[in-house]
Amino acid sequence: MNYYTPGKRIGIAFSIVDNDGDVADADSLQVIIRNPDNTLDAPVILPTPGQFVTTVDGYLFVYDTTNKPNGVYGYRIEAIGDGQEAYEGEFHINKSDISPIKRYVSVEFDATTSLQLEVV
Amino acid sequence: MALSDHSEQKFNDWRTGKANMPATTTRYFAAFTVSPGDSNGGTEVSGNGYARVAVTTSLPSASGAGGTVTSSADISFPAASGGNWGAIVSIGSFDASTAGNLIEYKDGSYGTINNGNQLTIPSGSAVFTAD
Repeated sequence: MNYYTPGKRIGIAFSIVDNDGDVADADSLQVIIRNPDNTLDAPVILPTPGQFVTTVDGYLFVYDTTNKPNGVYGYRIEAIGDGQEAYEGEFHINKSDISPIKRYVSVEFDATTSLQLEVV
Repeated sequence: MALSDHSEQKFNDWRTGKANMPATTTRYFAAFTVSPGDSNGGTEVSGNGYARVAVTTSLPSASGAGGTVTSSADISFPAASGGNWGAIVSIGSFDASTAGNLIEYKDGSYGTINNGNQLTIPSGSAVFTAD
C-alpha cells in the first residue's frame, strides 16, 4: 500500500488485456473510490477529462488528494463494456500537519434582552 | 441582539405563556459572506467544499447564574477546496444542516477563507451569553 500526503495527485496506472494478454481497449471503464469512512464516491467513468489519461500501456487514473481526510482508501477499476476485468487496491493518505491552513476565529452569541413594561 | 426573527417569535411566545420553546435539535454553524440579518437573508457560503458544521457535541449545557455556554471542542468547517469562500462577515446557527431556521447570528470580521483554508473556532472560543 502506498502512502501519500494531502495535496498530491495520485496516478493509478492500469491496463485492460485480452485473452492473449495483449493490451486492449475496453468499451467503457469506471473507477470507484472507497473513502476511509467506507462511503463510496460516485463512479468516475472514462472519459472524464482530468481524471483519465491514456498511455501506451493502458490508462492512468488521476486522483486529487487535496483536502482529503487521512486514512485508508480503496479503489476498484473495472471494465463495464465488452472487456470484463477488474482490479482493486488500497492507498493511504497521511494526515498533514501543514494543510489545510486553519483560520482561527472566535464568536460570541449575545442574546441579551429585557422585559419592557410601560406605565401609562 | 442577534437572535433571528424566528427565535424572537418563539422566545416571546414562550415568555408570554403562549407556546413551548421548539424541541431540541442539533445546531449547525453556518458562515456568511453577507450577513443574514434577523430575517435570514444575506448570502451563505456555498460550493467549494462548504457545509454547515454540527456543533451540539461541542457545546456543554448551560450552567451558572449567567447561563453562559462555552464550546468545549474545536468547531471546524470543512476546508475550502476548489475555490475561495471569500470574506466571512457573519456566523450563524441553524436548526438543520441545510435550509431550516436561523436561530441567531453574530456579525464580525472572520477573515477571508481562500482555497485550502479551514475556518475553525477553537475550543473555548464559541461563547453563548444571555442577560
